Amino acid sequence: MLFNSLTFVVFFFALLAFYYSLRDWRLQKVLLLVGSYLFYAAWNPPFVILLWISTFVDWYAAKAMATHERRGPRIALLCVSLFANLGLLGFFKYGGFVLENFQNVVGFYGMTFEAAKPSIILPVGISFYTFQTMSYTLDVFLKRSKPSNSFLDFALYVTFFPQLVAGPIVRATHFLPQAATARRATRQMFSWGLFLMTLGMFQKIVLADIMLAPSAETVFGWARGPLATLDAWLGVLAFSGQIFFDFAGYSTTAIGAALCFGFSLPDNFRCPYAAVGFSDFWRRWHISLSTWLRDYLYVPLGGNRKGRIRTNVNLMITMLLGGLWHGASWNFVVWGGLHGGYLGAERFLKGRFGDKPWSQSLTGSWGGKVLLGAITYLLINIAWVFFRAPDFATAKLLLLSMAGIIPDGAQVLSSLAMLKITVVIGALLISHCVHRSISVEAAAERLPGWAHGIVWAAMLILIILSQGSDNAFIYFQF
Amino acid sequence: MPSSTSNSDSAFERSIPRGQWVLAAVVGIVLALLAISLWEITVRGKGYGPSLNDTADRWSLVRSQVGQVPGQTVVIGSSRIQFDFDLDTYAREMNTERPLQLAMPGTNPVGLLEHVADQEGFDGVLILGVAPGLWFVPQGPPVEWARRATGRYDNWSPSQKIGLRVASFLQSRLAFINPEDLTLEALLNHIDLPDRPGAVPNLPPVLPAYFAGMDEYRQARMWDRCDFGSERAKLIQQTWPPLFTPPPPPPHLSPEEFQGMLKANSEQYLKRIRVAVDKVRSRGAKVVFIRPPSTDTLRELETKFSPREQTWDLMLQVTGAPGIHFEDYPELAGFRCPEWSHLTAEDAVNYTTALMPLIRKALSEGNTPG
Repeated sequence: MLFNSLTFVVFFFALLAFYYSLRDWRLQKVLLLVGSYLFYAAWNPPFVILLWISTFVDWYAAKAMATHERRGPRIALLCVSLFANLGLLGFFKYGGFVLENFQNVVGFYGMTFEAAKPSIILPVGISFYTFQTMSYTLDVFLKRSKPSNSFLDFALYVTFFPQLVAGPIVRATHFLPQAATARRATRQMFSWGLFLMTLGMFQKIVLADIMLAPSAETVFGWARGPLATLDAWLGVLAFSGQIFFDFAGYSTTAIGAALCFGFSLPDNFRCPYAAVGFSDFWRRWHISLSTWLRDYLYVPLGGNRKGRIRTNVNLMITMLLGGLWHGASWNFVVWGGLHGGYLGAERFLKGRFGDKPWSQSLTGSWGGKVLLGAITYLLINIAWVFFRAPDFATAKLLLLSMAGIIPDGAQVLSSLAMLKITVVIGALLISHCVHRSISVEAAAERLPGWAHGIVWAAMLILIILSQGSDNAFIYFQF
Repeated sequence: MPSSTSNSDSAFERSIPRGQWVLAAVVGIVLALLAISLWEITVRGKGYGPSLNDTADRWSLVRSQVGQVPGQTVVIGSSRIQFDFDLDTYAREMNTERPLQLAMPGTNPVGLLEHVADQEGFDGVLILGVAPGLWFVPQGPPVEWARRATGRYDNWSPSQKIGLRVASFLQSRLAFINPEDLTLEALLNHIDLPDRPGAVPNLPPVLPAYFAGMDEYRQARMWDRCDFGSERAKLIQQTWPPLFTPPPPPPHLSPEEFQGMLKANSEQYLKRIRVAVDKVRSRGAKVVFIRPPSTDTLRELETKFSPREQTWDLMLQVTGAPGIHFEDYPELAGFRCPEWSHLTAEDAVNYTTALMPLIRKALSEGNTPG
């Protein structure tokens, strides 16, 4: 079920009404669990079975793990969990990709391998909930936490509908303690949760889908030759805004929805386009995934503890796999590789010049930060080209158009589209720069209640006037 | 400091900003309701009324009924047959259930025809409405829109089914829910900014502004304000020439190569139409093609770019199915379209009434599988 659907509006308020009509915490949790399964089944009922597999395997693996002190059985149980989760992910998400590449490799050596093209539907959100459940088993394996003693709490942790299909990827250590005691939103919390939901839907429906998506689609979908430099750049900038508003919009709605039930989910975005450098960017963009990759991949690989070269290799492996997590396509791998390269280059530059006086004055001054932030944003946009382009040929043509190398490119954006992009992206960048060091809560405290009411009304009006569409969130496909 | 904490924090609680949030909620909701109510009154004052939106979900709902009972009549085509063919008149005249209207505005209907042809159990009457150019559009939105509708039906989720019910409830009560004219996007498009010299126009193709309402059976009826000589009719007329004029040959093809490509495309479509029609008729269903009227400049464009002998005549020839062309019958030839492409709601009833004897005759003759 999409957040930006009428079905969700009905579902959400009906669930809230039932939830607060119950007084027994256990019953309330059962209701939330059943509601979460309905939320998922409303897309494709049979795929609820995958959720159950992930839930049962990790529950029993972690339970059994806790009864063993010896490393051997613990590793075996961890392998069961990883095999089940990564197996589901591999089959549904990467099966076709692996087969296609196998055929290409075999063909390269002059042999032919013909297999029926698998018709596999990607279960929505599978990358999110498999990573979430794996983090639980990994934490128990690494003895960072104890296994849950309530199957109901654990099942709710895996399935809790606000974050089920597109994150934030919540850690068991965040969620399970909350499920242990009765949750009831205060009036302040409830109203703030509704405000966040409105803000998230405004980001998705108005800013991403109406203001930016059509221009990004026009530019990335242009298949008739090169584009004018201005159009190419504006199309890529439009996508940078679209993907932020789309994904941050989902996360903000999820956080707001959880708050209405009394639960707290962590932030997933913190003004990422105000990042100064790429390590800063990854502390601000899709935080729940980047910290997952850091804690369960980069650090176990050795992190930065095994010398400069190994650190760079670890960074690159982490980012390449992070890219592949987004989808079964070499475009995502290149996107991840570019970010791995950016991070490696940043480490090199910091190590080489970080203690020089000119470097310190550059990074310490306001103007220097703006300059470095602008370079960061520019390079992020170049990486977005690979993320969004349907194939390498389109990406190459777009990059050449952006560089102004090809003359007489097509001017495909209308003046109105250009105006929309300029206004929305300009406002986005200013907002990120102004709020880069403060949370949305701190920013909200600066306005009086009546002003919030006006902002809230404006967002609601624009959402309603948009009249919705059934555009899925971009991150659903991951 | 950011509000969320590191992932090792086990007592995680989000901070709630200080402020009068309950007051904000009340002010926000009240103001929004007031503004939307005023907007509803304003658009009703401009002549808009509640109408169901024609979406892939609504198409899927009708599609789901095909093949459920014997002897159904199904209509496929684009907007002309959806406007001009009056379902109630047909049901009354044929003493049968209301036909299932599966035409989709602006689409190449071949994909829709193939989808219905694959439906087991359909053994009734298939009416194929022909706007000649559209049946041979090789790619682009007319093909994609049809694919989107059939794709939605094939993967129709419970959530989308429920959503359609809620949407219908709202659409049948609120006039401002209008996807053609009154969405935020449509309103923003009224900002008239001159484009750069050399800019590629109309991407993607612009469909006409609102000029019809639709009921739960997907019967479209032209809006009164689009009657002959109205400003709305003139506005709609301007949208047809770019939509019905084929693009120039791409620079890398000679005119001969381009013509060859179009001919191959046409042959391919004719083959697909024949296969689908044969499949439908092999189940005992009957097929009849109907060419509704178009007039004035649009008719001239169609004659020029989609001449009858290269479209309509070939469709009848390859399928062996009967057809009713408005120019072949005096009783159909007198109808005029205010915006050159569709009949008024009143004329749609008259046109369908005039069609009925011809349909009866066509169904009783010439319906053997080819």
